[in-house]
Amino acid sequence: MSRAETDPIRRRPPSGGRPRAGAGPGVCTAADARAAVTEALAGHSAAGGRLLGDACLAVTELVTNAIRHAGGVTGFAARASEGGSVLTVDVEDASDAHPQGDRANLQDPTRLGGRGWPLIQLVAAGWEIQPLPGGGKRIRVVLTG
Amino acid sequence: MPGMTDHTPGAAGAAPVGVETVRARGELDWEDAQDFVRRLAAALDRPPRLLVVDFAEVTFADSSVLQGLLEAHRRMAEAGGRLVLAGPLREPVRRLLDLASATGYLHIAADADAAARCAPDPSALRPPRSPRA
Repeated sequence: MSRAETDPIRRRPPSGGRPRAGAGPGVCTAADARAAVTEALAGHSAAGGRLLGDACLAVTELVTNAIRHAGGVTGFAARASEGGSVLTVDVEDASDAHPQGDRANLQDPTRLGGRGWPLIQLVAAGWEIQPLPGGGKRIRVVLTG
Repeated sequence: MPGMTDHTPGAAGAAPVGVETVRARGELDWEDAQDFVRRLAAALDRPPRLLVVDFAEVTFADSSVLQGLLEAHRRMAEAGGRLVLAGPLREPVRRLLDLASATGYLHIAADADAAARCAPDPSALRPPRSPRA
């Protein structure tokens, strides 16, 4: 069964290539982003609850960072591999500044913040930060089930 | 403010009393947790001996919620009380606490009833720490 039959409204790049940031309409909030990754993984029985849960946490932190520090999300895409065992997420914003925070921030209860980025790094299989031609950045995070 | 004098270090009988519960539900993130954060802050204005934060119905929480819990935990401890997070915790919440190693220092109870039995023993309380001198 093709995914088109099970999930006709999924957001998928037209040629099966890289996810197009900005292709997902209307991802403005962290709740939108969680809905988008839930949709991207819907119907994939191989996608365990852990992958979906970690993906929801990662996009929530990414989108919240974009809103709090960069004026909002300028592009968003989420794409599951065939079978749903790999999820690639792109979040773009207008700031060139890279996210901050390391594992010490995450696990030190006295720190006042900076836990979002180390959380993402812990749950992700990989990540990269790409500058965008017109300014701003794209953060790509890959999660595996 | 009576709350200021109640926490004078070493004052006999100054240990905070009572139990308060703050319940939250649904998905809590930086945008959607404002009401929860407000209610948590209100409870901390005059810290009870036991503050139960009931997360049984919380289906998702992010780092901003964790930050709020850690801050509340610290303020409760400084006031001579205790914050207990009541479950049963859903998997996304437990995962967040595990990732941040927060299960090692947050008090967590299986459910609200168990949390209600977790008040600190008044005789074992250290004198509350002095406010900033």
